[in-house]
Amino acid sequence: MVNEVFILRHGIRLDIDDKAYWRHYLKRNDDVPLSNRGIIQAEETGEFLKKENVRHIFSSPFFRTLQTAQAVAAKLNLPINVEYGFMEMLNPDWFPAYPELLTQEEALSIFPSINRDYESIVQPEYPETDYEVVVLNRVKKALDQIIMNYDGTILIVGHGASTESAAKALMLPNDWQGFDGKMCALNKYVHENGKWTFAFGTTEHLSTESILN
Amino acid sequence: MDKIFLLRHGMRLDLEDEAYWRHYAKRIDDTPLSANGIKQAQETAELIKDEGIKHIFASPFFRTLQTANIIAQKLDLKVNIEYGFMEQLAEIWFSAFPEIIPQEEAYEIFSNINKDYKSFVIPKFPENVSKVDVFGRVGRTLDHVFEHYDEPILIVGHGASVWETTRNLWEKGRANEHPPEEYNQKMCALHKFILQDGKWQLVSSTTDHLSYVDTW
Repeated sequence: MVNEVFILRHGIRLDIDDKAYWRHYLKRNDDVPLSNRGIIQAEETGEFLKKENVRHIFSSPFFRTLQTAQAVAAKLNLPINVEYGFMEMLNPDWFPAYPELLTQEEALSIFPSINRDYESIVQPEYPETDYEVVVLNRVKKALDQIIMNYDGTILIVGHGASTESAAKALMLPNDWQGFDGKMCALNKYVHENGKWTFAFGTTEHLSTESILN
Repeated sequence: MDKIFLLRHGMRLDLEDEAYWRHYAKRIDDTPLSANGIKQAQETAELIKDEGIKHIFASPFFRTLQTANIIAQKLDLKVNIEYGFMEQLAEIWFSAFPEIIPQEEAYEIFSNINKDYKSFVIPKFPENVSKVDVFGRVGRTLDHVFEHYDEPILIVGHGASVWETTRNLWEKGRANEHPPEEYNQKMCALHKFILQDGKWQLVSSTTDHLSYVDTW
């Protein structure tokens, strides 16, 4: 059974660092990559995690989460399991339809650490309008299965909504206070005496101040 | 005309993200500015806002239009899209005439484009020898600009086209093949030329106005 969970939101997005022009030069507007600052954050996070004993990495299939996971995976020499259960909330205010993401073949060619044998536990359905129930439940379903089927320390790379939901799902029925939702903030949870406890939430491994949005 | 400003576009996004850029770009031949590049363009606009510039000419690439449009907004001027100042069409960079942002799309994004301007020169692919090919078409473009515009101008181009413009402005025979020390090759370096005794003199070539200077 998994006994330590790191929850990580992707780094700063390109659309935040270039609000004026990004939509005019991206191939897939639903799938914004990291900005230069975000890439640096991801590498710093990988450096920080070297001293932790992460054994399995699970990531949302979005470009920015795969970039973040890849930066960590390269430093830890681990594969990335692409889990749709941790994908961005399929909020119709953000996506007019199910978002256009990289195909699996493209993702495999860009991100060398992806584990091609992993099969996603959850496949969220568009649209998701109920954050408190629908998103929480699909994140919880993926997380519960992973905790049951894997051992040791894991890292989950997701988005604002899915990382917060993962923190809530772990701590249920208790409060999830303390969770740091900033981009590339690291949150650690430990399983002790039959329950999950919040160890820390930090951005101290990042060289510049991070942001919520 | 007694004053000319030449400007290379700001820092490029593809140079700040060499690993992933081509995988999320809509047009890989037409990289935009990075956040640093946008800031450089704004800083350059601040520097030249009181120079009395009357006309702006820019290469049709995304990064040069971004740079020019940011300045044009500050100066309340239009941007004339001139292919004669476009990037060198070298086969080491492009496999064919580059796919760049279509004019109609550019109009929507860049508020200050002059829709009535007709590009004087359209370079032909390929251009593998900058000192001949780019030098020649920039020269023809400049002749046209000198003939029709007579106030201080700003030209926004690329590494090769800005340097070949410089070589054209200097005595054509002199024409150093490589930029001398006093010529700053950095992105968003601003070159100021003044006509003295019938000759174009480079009076400043600087990145002092920039808070970020590239290391490429």
